[in-house]
Amino acid sequence: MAGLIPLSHGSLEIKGLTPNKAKQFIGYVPQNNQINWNFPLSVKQVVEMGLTNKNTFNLFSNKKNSKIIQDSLSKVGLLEKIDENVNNLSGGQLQRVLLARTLTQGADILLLDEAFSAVDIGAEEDVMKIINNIKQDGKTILIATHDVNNIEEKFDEVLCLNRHCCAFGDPSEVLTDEVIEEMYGPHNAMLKEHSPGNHGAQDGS
Amino acid sequence: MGVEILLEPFKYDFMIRSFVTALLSGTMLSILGTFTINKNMGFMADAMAHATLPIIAVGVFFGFSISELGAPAAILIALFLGFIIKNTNIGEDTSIGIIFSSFFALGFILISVLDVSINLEDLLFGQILAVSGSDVAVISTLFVVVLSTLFIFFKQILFYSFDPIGAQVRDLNVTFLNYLFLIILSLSIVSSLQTVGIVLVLSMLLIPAAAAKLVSRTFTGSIKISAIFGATSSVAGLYLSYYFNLPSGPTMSMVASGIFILSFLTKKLMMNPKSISR
Repeated sequence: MAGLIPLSHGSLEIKGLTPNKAKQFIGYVPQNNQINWNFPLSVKQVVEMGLTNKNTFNLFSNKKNSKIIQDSLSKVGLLEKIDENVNNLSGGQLQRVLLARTLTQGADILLLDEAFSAVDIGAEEDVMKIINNIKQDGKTILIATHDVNNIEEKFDEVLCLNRHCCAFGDPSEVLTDEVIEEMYGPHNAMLKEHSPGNHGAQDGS
Repeated sequence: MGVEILLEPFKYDFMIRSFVTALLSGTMLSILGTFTINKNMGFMADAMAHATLPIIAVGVFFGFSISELGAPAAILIALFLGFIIKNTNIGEDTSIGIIFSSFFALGFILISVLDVSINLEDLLFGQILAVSGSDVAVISTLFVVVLSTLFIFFKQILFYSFDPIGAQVRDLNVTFLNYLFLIILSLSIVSSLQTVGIVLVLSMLLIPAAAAKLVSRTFTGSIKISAIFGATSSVAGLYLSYYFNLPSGPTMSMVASGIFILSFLTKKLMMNPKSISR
């Protein structure tokens, strides 16, 4: 969806466009370990990256951008940290900074990759509150996660994947024991029998 | 008296040229160094410097000067390194190591086989006192080109360096930015070979930037401080080499190392003032 990996087969459309052409609509929050934290950047510099595109050739920020950055940081409750070094922030605060970055670009669809992997439970609740607020603004939010706990409370819909679509729909309906076993069950046995259209079960279902 | 000491070297034209060259390459390298240390590209930079040897050997054989060869050699090496790293699956460090050692070995063989008249010691450790007027013109041009490119693409290169996948999703041309940074880094390294040489160019690239990172809290602050440290190391190193008859490249490197030690101690003392009494 982010246009990072070419499609091996099938087709994918976002708002009627190919993923590469739909990048303007996508806000992406990467996994924590994909970011080079060596750079001693300020919160403002990181959030401003949401306003940076391939036509950005200016060295300094203008007032309009500063206002957008401040508004985005207000929405995630971190305005007072605007000049803080990102290396001094907690995991939850970093997620909120990266969320603010997607808000500056005005993206309609937010992709969050392992949004809660480096976040403690308290901070996870804070991030969820912000995500719910963003949802109220009419944005679509897709979160990749390995944690199936409390999914019913957190999300409207769930797509269960394990090399194929195991289930899709309302979490309270589709997250059955069978589906969870299909996702997290004995992988070796599943992969051995796996082929397109065959989910790994002996009977070919 | 103090002013006379500072002005005395400028009685000689070759010293004026040396000071200009030292100031330009010291500043340029230390600014590029702030990105290099945070991107963990020190080994890559070292390889870029060493990989120039065969190009210099062949170029000098055909009658070109080292500074004339600088820009094309730098661009060739940057493109080649970038291509090999991207298209082999053996790991970045390993690819760089193979190119580094193979090119360096090839350079020595070519110098021997072609019987090229190159003073290897000058090439390895720098000989700034030998720079000509045209050398100064070349390095001045490269100084302007490298730094203006860096500042024009500053926000894009910073975004790509900090979060390469995020930058790709944001539709930045990450392949272009990768090669662009490699080319300007390579240009700054190769154009400084006469100042500090193949072996010591790394010290002027990395040490001022590392010292600046110790004493600065922000990235933009570290760029400014690194530029000051780099310029100070090269100019002070040149004065010391003039008055104490020391080799210029190594003296500049040692001044940079001294600044690093001072920065390290300053940071330690600022973080824990009580450690003074221990």
